[in-house]
Amino acid sequence: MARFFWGLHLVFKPWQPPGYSAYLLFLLATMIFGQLAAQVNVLGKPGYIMTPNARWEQENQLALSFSYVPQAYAINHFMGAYHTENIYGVGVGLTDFMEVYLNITRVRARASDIGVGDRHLGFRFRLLAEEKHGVSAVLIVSAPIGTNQHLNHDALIVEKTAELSSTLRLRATLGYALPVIFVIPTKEGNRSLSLLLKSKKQENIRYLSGVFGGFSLDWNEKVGLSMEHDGHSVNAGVFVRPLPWLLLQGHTFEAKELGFSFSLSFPLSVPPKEMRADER
Amino acid sequence: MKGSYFCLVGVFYLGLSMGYGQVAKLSLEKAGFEQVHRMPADSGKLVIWEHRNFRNPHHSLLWADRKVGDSSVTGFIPLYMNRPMGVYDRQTLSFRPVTAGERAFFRKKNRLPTGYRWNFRVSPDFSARFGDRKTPFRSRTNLILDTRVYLLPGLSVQTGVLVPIQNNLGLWGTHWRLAPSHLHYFAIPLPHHFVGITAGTFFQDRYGVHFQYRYDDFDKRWRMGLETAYTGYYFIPGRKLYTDPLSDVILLLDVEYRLNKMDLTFRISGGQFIGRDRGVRGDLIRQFGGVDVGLFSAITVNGTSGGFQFAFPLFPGKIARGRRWELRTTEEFRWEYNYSHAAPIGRTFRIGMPKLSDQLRQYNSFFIGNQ
Repeated sequence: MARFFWGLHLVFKPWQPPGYSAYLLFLLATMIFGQLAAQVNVLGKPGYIMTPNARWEQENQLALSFSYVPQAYAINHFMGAYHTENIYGVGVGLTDFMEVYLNITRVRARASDIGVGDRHLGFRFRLLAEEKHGVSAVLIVSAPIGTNQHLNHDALIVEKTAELSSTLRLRATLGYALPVIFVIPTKEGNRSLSLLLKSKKQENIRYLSGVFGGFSLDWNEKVGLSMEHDGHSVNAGVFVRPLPWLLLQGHTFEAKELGFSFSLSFPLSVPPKEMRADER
Repeated sequence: MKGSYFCLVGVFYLGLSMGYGQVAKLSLEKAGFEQVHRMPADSGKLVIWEHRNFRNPHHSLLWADRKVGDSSVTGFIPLYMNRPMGVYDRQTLSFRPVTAGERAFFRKKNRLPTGYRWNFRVSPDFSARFGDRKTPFRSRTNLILDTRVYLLPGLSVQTGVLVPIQNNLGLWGTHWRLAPSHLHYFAIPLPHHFVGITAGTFFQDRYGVHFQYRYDDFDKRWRMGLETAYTGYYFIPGRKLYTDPLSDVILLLDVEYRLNKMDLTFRISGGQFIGRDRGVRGDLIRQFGGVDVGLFSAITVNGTSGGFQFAFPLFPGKIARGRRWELRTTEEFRWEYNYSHAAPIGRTFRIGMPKLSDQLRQYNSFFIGNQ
């Protein structure tokens, strides 16, 4: 069992072959049988490629995600430059209207200087449910903390799904992200709660600002394709769910660069193994 | 021929005298239950047991229901730290407090320490620190093998060995040493009033005394408690034990409110945290069944911080079990991440066993009925 925690440590060691952490996550996943993994964006929030959508079904599960973003479309602007980056994400549905997400970024080229960079904490709130209101709406709020706010985004998203046939489903999303970020300067010994407003442009933050949108078409939730405009570029991708708890996605950024991601999900209310083994 | 006849008769009478009850008891003991006693009740029978394998008592109740077999059993009295926690109906899982008569019955039947197995527990101890410039991800992983032995009613001792596996976080060397070890006394002096006293070495390099009191009616939404500790710093360089004098005082009061629909608990605690850090801390804890996930933020004299914590039973649980011993992974692995790491903000320390607030939360009748 120590291997799991050991594994978490190894994930960030600089000498690893690529995909090693992915392999560890896969091992972990096979130990517990998971629930349906949702299509997620590079940060691990339900979404298309770069953009989030308003899908909501992560209650009672823990979602892990990994994504590879090529240099030209990288989000983190560390020390004045963009680099090819790997983004790890963890998400958990705390209540039926709130989810919490945590990200860390690993930039292989600068791993020895900045390591995992800063942590990013975000919340997702369900405003409207499609079954009830005909359209679903979600609010994303980034925690206004930290020294690197490259992943910060505060957005409102509306979405509509349509069943084209018994097996085909279309999902269309429109969203707006604030062109500013909120920051609470957190310094040791600083107890004043001041909230600063900073322009994303001035801070060199290029992730999600202004209007964005996307759609996806899926067959039985097993295979699908998606397309989006994230405010800067048009990206398109395909995804496949070989196992209920595993979703793999490959995509292109403006048909110029390739990226990929995958997500896993685990149930949080699973009975102990001794009980499950007895049932079989 | 005659011999085998007597033999058969013998087996028959033995079977009669053992009865179904004995079979049910054996079957429960085989399934990991300890201190199993049957008790006559108004309508049928109650079964008293302690089950250390599962974190969530709901799982233990379901497991007992499946394993007890005997249909005349109408309810269970789960024990925690050798104390009866309540009576849960076998069919509906509804809760009622233990009566004085039931308590007295258990006191008479309680077998110490023979009612328990030698229970060896494997648990990892993992600390990490992010964001250091030179080594951005620092961590320390130890593996602990420990055991708990019950000495007297409610009184137990926990001790074991700590095996360092990996460490780039700090000193403490790579030698095997004494795992956090303590003497623990747990009592329920009045219904709904719980007291836990722990003395020994704790996690986060603390040693000393730790006291907990809680008022918790498992049928109610409100709970409150007091946690206080008088500790000092210790470490074990080789075969010696190095201790700083006892100097640090923790004194915390807390109130919890439970939103039953979502198994969500709001918790406000305030007072003095570790390191003379005075302030308040708010927690939001969601109980998923086996797993708890929590968010918190704290405002203290040391500053403002926040973070998250989670607790889950470590896979796979039971590793091997005999009649008198068992090897298992820990029923609760708890980890807390605090955004600030320079000065402690809103922190306490782990005592080597679940704290009363976290433990009692799981006996709540709504939590057990909700699942």
